[in-house]
Amino acid sequence: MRVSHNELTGLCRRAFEGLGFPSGEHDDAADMVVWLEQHGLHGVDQLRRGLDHLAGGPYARMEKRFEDSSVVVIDGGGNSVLVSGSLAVDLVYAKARRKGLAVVKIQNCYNRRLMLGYLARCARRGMNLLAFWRDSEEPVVVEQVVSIRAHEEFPTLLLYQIDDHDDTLTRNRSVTLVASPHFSMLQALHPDPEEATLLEVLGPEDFEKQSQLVWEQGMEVDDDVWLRLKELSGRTLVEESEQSRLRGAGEGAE
Amino acid sequence: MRTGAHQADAVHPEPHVGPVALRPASEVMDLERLGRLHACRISFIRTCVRKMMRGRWQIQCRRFDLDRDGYGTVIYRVRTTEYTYNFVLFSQYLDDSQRSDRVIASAWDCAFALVQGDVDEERLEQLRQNIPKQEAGRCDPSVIVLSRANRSVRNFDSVVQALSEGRQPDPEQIAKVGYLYRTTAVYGNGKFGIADYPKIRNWGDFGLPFSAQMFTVYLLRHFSIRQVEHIARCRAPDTAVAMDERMQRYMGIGNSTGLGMAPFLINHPRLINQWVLMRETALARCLAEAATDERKQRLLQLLERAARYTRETWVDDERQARENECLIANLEQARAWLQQQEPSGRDLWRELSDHARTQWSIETQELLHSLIIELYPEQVDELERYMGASEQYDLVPDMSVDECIARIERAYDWALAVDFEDPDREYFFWYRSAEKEEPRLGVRGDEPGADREMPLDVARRTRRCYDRLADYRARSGGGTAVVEFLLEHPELKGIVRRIQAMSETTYGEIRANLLGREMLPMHLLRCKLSFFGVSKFDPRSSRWVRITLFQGAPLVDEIGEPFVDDWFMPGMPDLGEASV
Repeated sequence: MRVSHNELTGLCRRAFEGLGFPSGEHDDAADMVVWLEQHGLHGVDQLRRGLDHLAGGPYARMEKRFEDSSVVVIDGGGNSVLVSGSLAVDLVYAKARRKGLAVVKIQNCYNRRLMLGYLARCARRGMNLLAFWRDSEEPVVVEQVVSIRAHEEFPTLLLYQIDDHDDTLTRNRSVTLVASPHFSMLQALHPDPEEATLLEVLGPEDFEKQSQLVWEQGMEVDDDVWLRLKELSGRTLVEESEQSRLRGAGEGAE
Repeated sequence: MRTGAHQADAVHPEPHVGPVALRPASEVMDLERLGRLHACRISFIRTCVRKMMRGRWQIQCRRFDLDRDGYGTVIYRVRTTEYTYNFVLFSQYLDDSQRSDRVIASAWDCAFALVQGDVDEERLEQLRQNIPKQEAGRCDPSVIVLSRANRSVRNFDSVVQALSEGRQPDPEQIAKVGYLYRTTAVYGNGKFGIADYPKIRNWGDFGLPFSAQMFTVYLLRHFSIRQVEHIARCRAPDTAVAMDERMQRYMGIGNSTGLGMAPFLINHPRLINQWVLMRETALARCLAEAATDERKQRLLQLLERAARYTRETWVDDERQARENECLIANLEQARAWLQQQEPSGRDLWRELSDHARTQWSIETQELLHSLIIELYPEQVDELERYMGASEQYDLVPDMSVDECIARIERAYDWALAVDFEDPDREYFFWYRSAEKEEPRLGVRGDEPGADREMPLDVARRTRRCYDRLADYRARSGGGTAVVEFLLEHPELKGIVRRIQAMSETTYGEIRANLLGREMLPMHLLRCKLSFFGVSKFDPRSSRWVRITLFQGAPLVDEIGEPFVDDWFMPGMPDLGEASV
């Protein structure tokens, strides 16, 4: 079915609320899904793939495994980045703001692409950001690099094919975030052909064009996912009764 | 005519630095006061009418296919300098037993939409399949506004009867209920597949908040008059008369609003801050103006008009009736006081405002402020451009815990003052019913659902956040970045972000504990409705209210004629023998 941005955002928020995400976290998780969907990167499909796991809650909290003044390693607890991933981005932001450069690596997490929207929000506040991770989609390993400059609205996403099948980065499902308010890292559009093959480049203009299209046409969402989200959001609703119908809404309140 | 990018994204005017300071948030944002606000020049229906009249929008009837009972299809084409729209309305029979103002209703007397571009037969058929279903239908982004309305049982038939018999409707009856139709929801911003607000936010026509919704309601008013005239003509072609133009202008549109507005107000604090800030800026600018005899005479006229309008307002609610009686008496006193004053060389408006604060009711004070704002359109009207605000909040993760605590103590002292140890301070809980997701209010401990409470408890969440921050500071130091605190307490991210954002605004939050036993939801509803520009607040309980829009507004046929923006609070028309 075709839905509006606001509808999808509202339903995702309530669905995450139904899943037990706290206030604030459910807003951010919804925005991450909808940002990806709005910009043509199939956020709803990413969510669909994570829903069964998410619905199993409760979620392990992120734990710091290592920390110094500008580097942090976090155990993501096997969760989707929708669970507190935004706080990890906030952490790299805060450290970079205080120290000039920061690196946060989250291990043991999935749905990493969903971080794009939150990275864009942080960039808006004057932070240059880069995110790096590798997905193993047998038989190929795809390296994904996102970079966004401070105060810009849209990132650049590059996908490279890597031949390294026994890669720790791939196996431990990590994502590395690099932030600095002072400088940005530029993308290498012509990588060493022996190391990596550039598969796809999505630039700010691609994201912007896709975004405009959504305001004009809405977004197509699979009926089954929509119903699933409805069902999850239903967990926040209180079953009706004659008493609530009258007193709760005010007709018979006085 | 203004167009484009300066609409919702307009850079806000320079901070107010005039000789009269903005009123403090502690006074303005008190819910008791917000619940007594009146419409003013920059309320949305006033802005809507100015834009339409000055832009000489062309409104033409393209289709008027109604049967003798008024059921069928009507289309009005609207041409502005920017775009073409169509207002498409479906009128249908509704059994009296199905007529309900509640959101849980599933059928209405008429359903309608404002659509971008032209509507051919195929498009019309798609709309016919979906618009009458409202929430149960699906629309696409060419639909900008989706709405429905029910006939006023009290007025509709008697107005048709009068016109068919060659009489005008009884003005006293219309003074009591000033409309033929009452809208029960006016949807914008992406609801049920319609256009998201970002699609239209840079449009000159409808970029300002709620402007498309208000204009759609205005067109319903036009339809309602043409429909009763049509039915009267069908019933008695030999005797029927058209509605007198004075009566047409006196005819508004009703609206019935319940608790659904409360979550909107709490979930859009930046927008509410902006609305209040613009109103207060307008007031501060006007209070600083040197009075002249001409402006004094104008205010005296307005006071008389307001008193008359209030006298011609009937409400059943005892509290509101007492407020109105007091308002009428106070307005007479204000007139007497003002008549005695010599305007030259004095800060007369400021003196009047100060005098009102010590002598008259809050309702009177705020109406006086609305009327003073009327005196200086040249100081006020530009502020309408700044009524929009983006509601996205970004965490400031590097803010220190010390700074966070200081902000709560400075901007949320009102929340910290609530004693949540007292059960009466958590008496209510807000929830969303499974029945069409209608927001409702329950009594904690008496009714089920407190475990699924909506997070409208800003005061309580602030208190909890403050206590946790204080504990954390004792353990980890106040210089720690707040994101470290949130890694321990992710459940507080929402309230921390809100505190960070709203503590930087002038008016910030509505200062009320929405869980408290003494809390009157009606105040929330009235606050929002006053910015819409409504009048004749008629509370039906503490939780829902009927109001009137566009009463006195110019008619569609008058667009293009010289326009004086002075139509609000109209007096009951004197039609002589025409209405006998």
